Amino acid sequence: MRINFFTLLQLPETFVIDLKKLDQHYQSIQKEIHPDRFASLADEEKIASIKKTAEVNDAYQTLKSPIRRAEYLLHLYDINIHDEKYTVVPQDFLMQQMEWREELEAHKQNKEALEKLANDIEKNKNEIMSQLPKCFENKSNLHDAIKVTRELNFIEKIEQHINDALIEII
Amino acid sequence: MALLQIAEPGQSTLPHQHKLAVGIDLGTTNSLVACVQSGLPTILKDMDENKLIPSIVYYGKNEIKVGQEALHYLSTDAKNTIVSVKRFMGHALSDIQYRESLPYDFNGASTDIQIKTSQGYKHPIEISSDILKKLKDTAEVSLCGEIIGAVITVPAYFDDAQRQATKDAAKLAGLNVLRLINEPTAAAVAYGLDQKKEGTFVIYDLGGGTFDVSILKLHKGIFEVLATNGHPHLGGDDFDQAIAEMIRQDNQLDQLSHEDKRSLITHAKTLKEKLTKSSSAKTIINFSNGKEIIFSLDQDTFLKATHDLVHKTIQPIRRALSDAKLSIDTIDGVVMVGGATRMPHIQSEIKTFFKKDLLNDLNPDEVVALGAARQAYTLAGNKSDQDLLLLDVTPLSLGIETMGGLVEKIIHRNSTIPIAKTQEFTTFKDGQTAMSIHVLQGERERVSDCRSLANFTLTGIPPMVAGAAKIRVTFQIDADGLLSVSASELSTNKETTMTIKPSYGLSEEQITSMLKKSFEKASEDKEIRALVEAKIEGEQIITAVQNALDKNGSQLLSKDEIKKIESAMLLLSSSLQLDDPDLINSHIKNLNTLTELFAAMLMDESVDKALKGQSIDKVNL
Repeated sequence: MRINFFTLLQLPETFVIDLKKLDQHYQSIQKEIHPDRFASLADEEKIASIKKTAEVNDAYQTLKSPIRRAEYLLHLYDINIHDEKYTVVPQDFLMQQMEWREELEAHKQNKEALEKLANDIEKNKNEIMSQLPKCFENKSNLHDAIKVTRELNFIEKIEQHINDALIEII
Repeated sequence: MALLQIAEPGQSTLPHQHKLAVGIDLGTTNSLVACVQSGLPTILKDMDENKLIPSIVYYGKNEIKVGQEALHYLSTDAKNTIVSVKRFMGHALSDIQYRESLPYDFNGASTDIQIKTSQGYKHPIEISSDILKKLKDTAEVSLCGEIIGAVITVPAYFDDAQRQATKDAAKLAGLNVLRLINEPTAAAVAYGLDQKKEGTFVIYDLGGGTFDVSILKLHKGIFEVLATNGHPHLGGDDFDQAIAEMIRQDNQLDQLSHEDKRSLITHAKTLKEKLTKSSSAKTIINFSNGKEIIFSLDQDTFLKATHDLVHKTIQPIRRALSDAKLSIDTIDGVVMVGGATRMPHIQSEIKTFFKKDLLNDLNPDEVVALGAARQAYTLAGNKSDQDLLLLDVTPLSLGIETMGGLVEKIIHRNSTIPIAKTQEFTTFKDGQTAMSIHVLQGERERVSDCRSLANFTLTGIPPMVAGAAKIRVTFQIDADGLLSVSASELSTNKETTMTIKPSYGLSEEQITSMLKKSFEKASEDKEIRALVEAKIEGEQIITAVQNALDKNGSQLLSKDEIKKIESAMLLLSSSLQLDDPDLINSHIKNLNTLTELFAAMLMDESVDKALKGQSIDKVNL
């Protein structure tokens, strides 16, 4: 059985977490168990250390990102947001998505336009993101949590595409 | 097993014995070896007082010359004098561009790179190992003692095959690799510790043949790499080539011998170095046919001819910044590493890009080796006042081939290592007993655009109806950045482990046979050493296990488990009386296997302990 990431990093199993504590706990554990502490020792300890550190790294990276954390919380409720039964996206959000994609395609070489688009999308993302804590407050809101997390997933992807396009512009 | 270490991190099991461990910068053009002496990392000099050892190996009929001694064969016997072998590491022959322009005879019948020399065909790993042997000898002479291990640096952007090749070369040279660390990270260690820097730093590392950029957060002795990027074939060498090309075109030099081509590049390099100090430079080249030319070059012309090369470093910087989700104004400093960063136009371009003064007060040729020496000192188990921890990342995404020639990413680039991810597969035919998995490294979506790491077949799947078998495959990248894959069928719990060996690397058998060859020369010495080492290790393990058992054994283990461990200890201690290293090692292995679970439990204990300390700290605040 895989270990619960919140338990591993000794944080309450909630969406809103103390990020400072997350960093502190992660670093304290790393100082004890990182493979560098076992470099001159026998293979069995190195292997045990690599396994544990890999788990801790995975836990830290998952909990650090709000979107990954939301996905993980839903996973703990046995919900996989990529499951077919959740793929329906509200019409207006879909329209918005298409608009953004068209704009990206139209301005692939235009730095200012892309930066403006990225800014607009980020504002939108922050707005959606601000709904997440409420979604996880009680179990009856979980369908909202699924919807919001899925939307954030879409936004994350288009942000990546815009970033890639921006990097290509010399 | 030396569980003592868990109780007292960083403390040597033999407190009064200082363990000699070195840091090695195995560069494309030059290599260095460094060691911590009286608390300070120092570059070790060879007998001729050189710090920089040219990464050049000459294979004469009856001799191998490395470094400075090999240098002059470049212009007399280019075919047998191998330079920049780092560019060949982890590659197939078909990967090498401009093969015709190189002076070497490659074995065309092999997919591996094999260079024909007067001592037979040489694999890049063997050539690298000859450089490493020279560095090892240099260190042992300089330190008057045997070194127990080394940290070897590699470009951060090296892929799995290149890292594996480097590790194999070290093995062949008889070096115990404590860790492979990334060059920019090593440089950050040197800067961070020497100058007590804190904050977010960019390391711009342009070496002889590779370019890396890493962004690190330095905080209380923790060096956390946020993102890394780079260019696998871009370095100072390319600037030399550009100058050589100018000389050729200006003087219409078409038919040159390999020796003349080498000499042209040597002159180009000299010009480049002169231009770091003055605005123009001149050189006289004598060709083997008696022709003499005088060539002069000014800063402006050089700048124009190499502007594209400088610019090629900008895109990786942007990618790294984007991956780290940082903008230029959040960067506290830019560290310049690698001899090539001495070129003034690189300095000004990067300064303009970051709108910041550059940190280049440590020698850019030495800083990587110095950082590696620090890390080697700590990893060897020497006690250090500085609590140092490096958290590095994997530079490239790792994925597997899916339907339609596409790649599904499993581990994303810039994930902190070590990292492990699992993926479940199922059979699609009734009674299917085997399944093949194609592992790739790279960022692109198509299989053909990524680097193929391995193609392996899982066998022994119990025959079931389609979709019933559940095969869980774990991809693990360890602290050296090396990949291993293990698979198990969940309904039967049958486990198979395999190490990924790319087809263009060396197989375990090849390494063993090469090792044997080199052992034959000094076999008796080695046997005695093997025995002594086995005895020491055996004794240390017995002490460590006994201590751990006394401390935590009764809490964590059943009586039966303790009994088994104790009888394995007894067997080991009686084998120490006999002069048979193989026997001792097999008992060590046996004891280690038995204590594997115990080690995992102690690791969990350490996690709890770490956080208990944390909450007490919090209360005190």
